[in-house]
Amino acid sequence: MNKRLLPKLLLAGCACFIAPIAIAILIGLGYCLQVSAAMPKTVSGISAPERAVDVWSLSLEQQQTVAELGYPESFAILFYDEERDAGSPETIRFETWSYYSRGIEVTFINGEKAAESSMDPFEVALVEIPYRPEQFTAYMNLAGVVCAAKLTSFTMVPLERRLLPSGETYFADRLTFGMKDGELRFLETLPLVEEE
Amino acid sequence: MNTQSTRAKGWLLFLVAAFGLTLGCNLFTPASTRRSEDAALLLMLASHSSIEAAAGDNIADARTPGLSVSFLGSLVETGARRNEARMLAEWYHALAEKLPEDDEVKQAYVAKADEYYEKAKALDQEREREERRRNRGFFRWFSQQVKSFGEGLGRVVGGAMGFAGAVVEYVIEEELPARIRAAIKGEWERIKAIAQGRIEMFWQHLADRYGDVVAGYLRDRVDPLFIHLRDRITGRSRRVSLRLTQTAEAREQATVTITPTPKILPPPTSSQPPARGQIITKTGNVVPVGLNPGLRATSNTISITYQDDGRAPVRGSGMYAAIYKWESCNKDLPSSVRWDLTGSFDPVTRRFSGTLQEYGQGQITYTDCSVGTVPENKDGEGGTWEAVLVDGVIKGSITLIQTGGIPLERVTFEAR
Repeated sequence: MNKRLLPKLLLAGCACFIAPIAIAILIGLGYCLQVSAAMPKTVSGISAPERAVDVWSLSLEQQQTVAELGYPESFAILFYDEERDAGSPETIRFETWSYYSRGIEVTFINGEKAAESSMDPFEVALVEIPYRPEQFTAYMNLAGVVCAAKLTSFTMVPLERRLLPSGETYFADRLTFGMKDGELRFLETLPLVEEE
Repeated sequence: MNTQSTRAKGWLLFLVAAFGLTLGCNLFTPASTRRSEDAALLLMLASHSSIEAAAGDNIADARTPGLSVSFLGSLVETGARRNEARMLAEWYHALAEKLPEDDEVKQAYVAKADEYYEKAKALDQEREREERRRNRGFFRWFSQQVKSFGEGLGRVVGGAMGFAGAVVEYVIEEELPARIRAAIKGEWERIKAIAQGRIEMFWQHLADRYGDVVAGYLRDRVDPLFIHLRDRITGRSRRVSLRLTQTAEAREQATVTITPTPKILPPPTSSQPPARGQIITKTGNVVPVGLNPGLRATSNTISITYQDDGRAPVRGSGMYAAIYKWESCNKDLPSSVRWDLTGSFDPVTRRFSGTLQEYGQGQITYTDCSVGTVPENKDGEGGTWEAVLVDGVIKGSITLIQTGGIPLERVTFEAR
């Protein structure tokens, strides 16, 4: 009787001892995962493979703008869906091309010129940005953006769940962009100026 | 024992780091079905908010002299990101406020504003919790461990992110502003030896001009998006109502006849792209309200020039001249007041608003009944004006702000 009970008692003892430890480890691991996932990260030393990525074809109006004013000194693009007839989504590419030294900003919606505004020109020596609007297309993934922009490093900041679940902002060489669910939703170039 | 413990700790941290990166990069998260404009706007706000915090941190570090306290205050005060949900709520709230009561989009914007105000509260609470957590000993220890270990993991974790050979470093909160600045200026920082001067972000120049890039510059920049959004909502409402009507009619027809005749319906109203930069001038007359109308008016004009897409400042001028009776001397003398108006036009709400300067001149009688001339005062007096465009007619009013800040409505006007 005692011989048969002993292993069971030992097993029960071990279970009582090990189970809380295992649970504690799992809880700790979960917490650690949560914390590390929320931490910003810098990725450097990227050697992006040379591969074909989709490009946006400039519309006629955009080509005319380039012919008149040149490529923008800075540009911002927002990608989102609009609901069309029968509830089908249509991808919208909302672009703002900024010519700070000329004091002009042009807005395009899906390549169609939607607005042109003027501002007082900035008298600064802008360093040319190495990007062009057509390099970026809607909902690219991270590897696509890295490849298109030929990035070698970036810093990624995850956004709070309450603000935008699965949202991340990225900062790279004269560039910032935002991704949600692994898709490019916002991109803006950040020109530099050479100051005396 | 000690070696085994270190090895076990190493493996544990490796697993944590690798899984953390995977979760952080959302490699396995499914894409949502609706890619909303709000998500794109929030990402834009979050990016700029982070840059603003990084720029502020830079200024605080450098103790740069010569910048205004208010500007520094706006950047350095927090050193943290803004509440982007609240910014978006304010944008929607401002849009809703501008719309007339009967506008079909107003309620949608009010609802959006409310939704984001609620989100903003929740976000504040989450950030407070995060802040408290960051201040705990364990979190700090853990962050440092992950950071140190992440460097050790090096290329393995880089591969886990999809970039073979890349090195991943975890960044603790305190380092983030410097990392962001370094990321943006990175390439040029490395070669700045060839540059003649210092390389800085142009963003700082925007901040110098607009004071608040997020509230000023960015809001203006995405204005066409909101116009387009309103067109879409109104267009969709019409289409939805059209579809419902169509369905109801089809049902009615189906009950009457087995083979209903297809009914030709007008095409759905499509959203029109906003008009582009047409400059319009409208002229009209004023009606004196807080202004003595005199015996008879000799001049009564108002002219307003605006761009119909609202992208250019509104300019205007007006004049009311009349003959006034000086009772004590029984003399009829001329006097006039003129206004220079500047302001803006919002094509969404079709409202004008702005400021003005009022200039007066004329003839008066002295106590001996001699007549003197009062020249136009050079500085004028300040005031405000507002108007609304209704059926092609600008209807508005001009208000003079008197000494002590007391507003006095001078005239109402109509220009067509």
